[in-house]
Amino acid sequence: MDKQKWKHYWRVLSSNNLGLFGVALLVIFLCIALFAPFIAPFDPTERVGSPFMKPNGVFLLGTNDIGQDIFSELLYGTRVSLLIGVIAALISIILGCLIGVIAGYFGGKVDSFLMRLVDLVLVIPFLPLMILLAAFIGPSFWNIVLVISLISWASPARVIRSQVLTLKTKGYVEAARSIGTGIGVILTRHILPGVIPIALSQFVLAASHSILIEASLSFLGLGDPFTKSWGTILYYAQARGAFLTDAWIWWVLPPGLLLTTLVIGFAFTGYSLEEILNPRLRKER
Amino acid sequence: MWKFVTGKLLQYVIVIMLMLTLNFLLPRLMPGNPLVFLAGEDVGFMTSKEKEAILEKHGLNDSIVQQYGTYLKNIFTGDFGFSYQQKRPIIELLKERLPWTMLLTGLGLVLSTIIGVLFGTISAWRRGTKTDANLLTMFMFLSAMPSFWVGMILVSVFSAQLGWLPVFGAESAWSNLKGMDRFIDIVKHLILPLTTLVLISVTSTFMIMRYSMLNVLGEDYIMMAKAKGVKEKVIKYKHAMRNALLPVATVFMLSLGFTLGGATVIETVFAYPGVGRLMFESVLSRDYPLIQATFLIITFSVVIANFLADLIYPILDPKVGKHNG
Amino acid sequence: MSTVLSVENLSTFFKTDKGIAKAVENVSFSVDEGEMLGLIGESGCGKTTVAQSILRLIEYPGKVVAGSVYLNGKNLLKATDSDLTGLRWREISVIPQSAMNALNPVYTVGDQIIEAILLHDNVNKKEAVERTKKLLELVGIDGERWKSYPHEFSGGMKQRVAIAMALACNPKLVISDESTTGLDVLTQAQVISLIKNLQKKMNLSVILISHDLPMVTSICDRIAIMYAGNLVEWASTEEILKNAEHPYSKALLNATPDLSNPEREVTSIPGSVPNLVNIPTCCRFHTRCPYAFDRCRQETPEFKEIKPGHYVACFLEEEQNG
Repeated sequence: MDKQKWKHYWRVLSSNNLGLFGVALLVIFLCIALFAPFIAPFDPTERVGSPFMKPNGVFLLGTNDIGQDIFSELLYGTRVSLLIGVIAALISIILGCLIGVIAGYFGGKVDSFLMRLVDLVLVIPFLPLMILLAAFIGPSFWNIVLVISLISWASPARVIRSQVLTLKTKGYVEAARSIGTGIGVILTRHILPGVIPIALSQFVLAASHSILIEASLSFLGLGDPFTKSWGTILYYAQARGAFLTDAWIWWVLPPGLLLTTLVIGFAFTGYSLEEILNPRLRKER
Repeated sequence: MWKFVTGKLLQYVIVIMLMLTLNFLLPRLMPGNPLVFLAGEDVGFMTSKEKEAILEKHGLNDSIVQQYGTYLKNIFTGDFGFSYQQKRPIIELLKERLPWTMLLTGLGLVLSTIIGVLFGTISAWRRGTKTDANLLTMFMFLSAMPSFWVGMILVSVFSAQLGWLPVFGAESAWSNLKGMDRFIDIVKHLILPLTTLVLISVTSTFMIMRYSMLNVLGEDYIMMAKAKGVKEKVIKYKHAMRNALLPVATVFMLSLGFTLGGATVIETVFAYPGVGRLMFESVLSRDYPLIQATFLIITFSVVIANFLADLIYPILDPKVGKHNG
Repeated sequence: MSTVLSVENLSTFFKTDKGIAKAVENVSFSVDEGEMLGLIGESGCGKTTVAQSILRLIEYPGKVVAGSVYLNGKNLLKATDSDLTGLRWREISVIPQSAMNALNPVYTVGDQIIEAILLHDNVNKKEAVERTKKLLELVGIDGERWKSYPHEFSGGMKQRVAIAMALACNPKLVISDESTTGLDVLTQAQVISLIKNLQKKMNLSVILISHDLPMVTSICDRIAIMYAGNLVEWASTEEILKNAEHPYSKALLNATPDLSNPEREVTSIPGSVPNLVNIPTCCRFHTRCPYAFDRCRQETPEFKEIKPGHYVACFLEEEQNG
């Protein structure tokens, strides 16, 4: 990818307040995740206080049902949400790219078969399917990543396929094909550079979906029992009835707000990336 | 048109067969004792005679092909198996729970579609204005919120703190309300879960409607209608809306699965006695046959609803409706 | 012959992020009864904006900032919405750019023509259907096909439907805005000759907007040439062909091959159209004009009559003829 193009993208992105805001949010969360051990006052797995304590000078957001510090739990939870979101999105985008490029480039029977497959996957109610799979293969970090990415590749695949179809009709690709350039060279030199920006914006959007899905699974008690994510915190808050007491303000509200902010960070970045890469959208505004 | 419908039908048959096969294979491929997956974790407390009966019923001693045949036969005769935890045939449980889910998701879909279409249209008509920007931001925030959390917050505020609405369930237990009183009771229980469901599923309709309306408003036939002297209201509702709704109909079908999935989580928060809550309960108690049955019934519902929507679509779009051009 | 439409000093500007784009400035011309006027220029020169201004279809961020448009003595730019409803289609109608997209895909073509008839003429549904069938036959389509949807027609037929629709309420003036875009050459020729025939038959006034100079010179009575938002020359077709005055008109004529004189060299016009955003006062053609001198860069030449019926906006002519 040439430098000029990226510089141009960056200029458009930075002239776009929404996108800049999104990127800023992501950077903040990344810092929290990286430096959690330094910021957090306690080890979130240790019982450091008595159960169900109200917020005070020591425990900023009180303690949970077994006396762990909720504030520290939240800081560490950033790691899980971010990691699962990014890894699951990465795998599903790679899958989506692979299938999208194959379908778009080779066309014909391969294309119609793969697109039928995409249609099939899109019809399946994915959250129940994930619950089913997660229940059977058991809750663990990698299982959740696997389950999410197995189901979320379909719609990126479709977007990438249509991008490949447009690229294929571009003069330089047709020229390369007509002079007998090998498939590998065409794909890496001509098709992939055009696909990567789109894949990037799809990746960002997929990450925001993955984070929400992980939260839902954890909330249903299907999260990794050894790594506490924000969804897991809410699962315990629900199970212990915290949302029916005053504790909702410090136990229920903060994890959800963090989830929302993180997802918004990804979504804003993603939408403005899309706007940058799709000049037609930009004009319409 | 028939080609279109049969094509879709084939696709749905494949989806159902795939999901049935997955369901058949899951308990048999998992490492460990298949009995656990076929009967739930209560297997430990069973006598060897009972275990023998289960093995017999699922034909686990037969070849895999025969097992598959038995499995399909059972499903298609409405025999979803037996929940050893709840000590009842699964089909009975489903029959009890399904109406509540249909009530919740049906209303949720209708409301979120209407609201999404309405606001999407407004946003598109006022493109580039403050109203448009505010609506866009608001709906983006809505779609970023975890559904269960929205539900929990609503319960905290409106039930626990303000005490306006009931905390959980679909109706008051042991109250023996009749007629109008029962209806009001059910509505009161429905308000919060329904609101949650609408809040989390409205954004996709809004986004699509806005985008599609923007495209349609730029079309030459809208300009043409204006040049013809057609009144603005007629242009908006007759000429623009009809066209802009086409992609919404497509998204409506895709969002069926999403809405039902969302309902699973929301029913859990509100202890709403639907299929979704049943799925959660069965996950908690690792009642595997019940997990599978609830998943199957949700898949069936999505596929049937999709198919119904496919039947309606040609009426909206003449290009699909007639094929003689 | 009486004047049907007269456009005086029309200016239409668009607000953009970078400033005001003067898409159309100070444009004046008129159309007589039964006349076919060709409005010609490169794409992006403001032809369509002129048409939309006349039809009152300019929307935000665009605005008609000055001028008047008289249709049979009534100023269209001052007409109220209800006046407009009365005028549209009965007095003035349009065959739009690319008729392919001008028909609403979810309604039958008949419905769309009937809609126009019912809106403007006091007839019942049955009479409207009858008239629709006749209109379709007028443009060479089986009247019974009024129940067909647009996608069931070919491109050329859709174009004919759009013509039928434009004629639905017997308008005095029809604006054809590059109506043959996207059709193959043969179909284009058929559609154009259909418009010409109907114009004669119904004594219509037509403004034919196009970038195809040979086509326009072959069928139009008068020609108006636009460049970058200004009208540069307006005269009878014969006069333009023989005595074009403006350097742009001449260049345009030289840029098209002449079948009767194949020896003549075809030359393209060097340079490109200026950006119309915040354009300073000048002759807009000066950047490409081989004869440009200082005055062209500082003042805008007036659009004035140099011979009866021949209007030009150029300082060169002024210098030469005093």
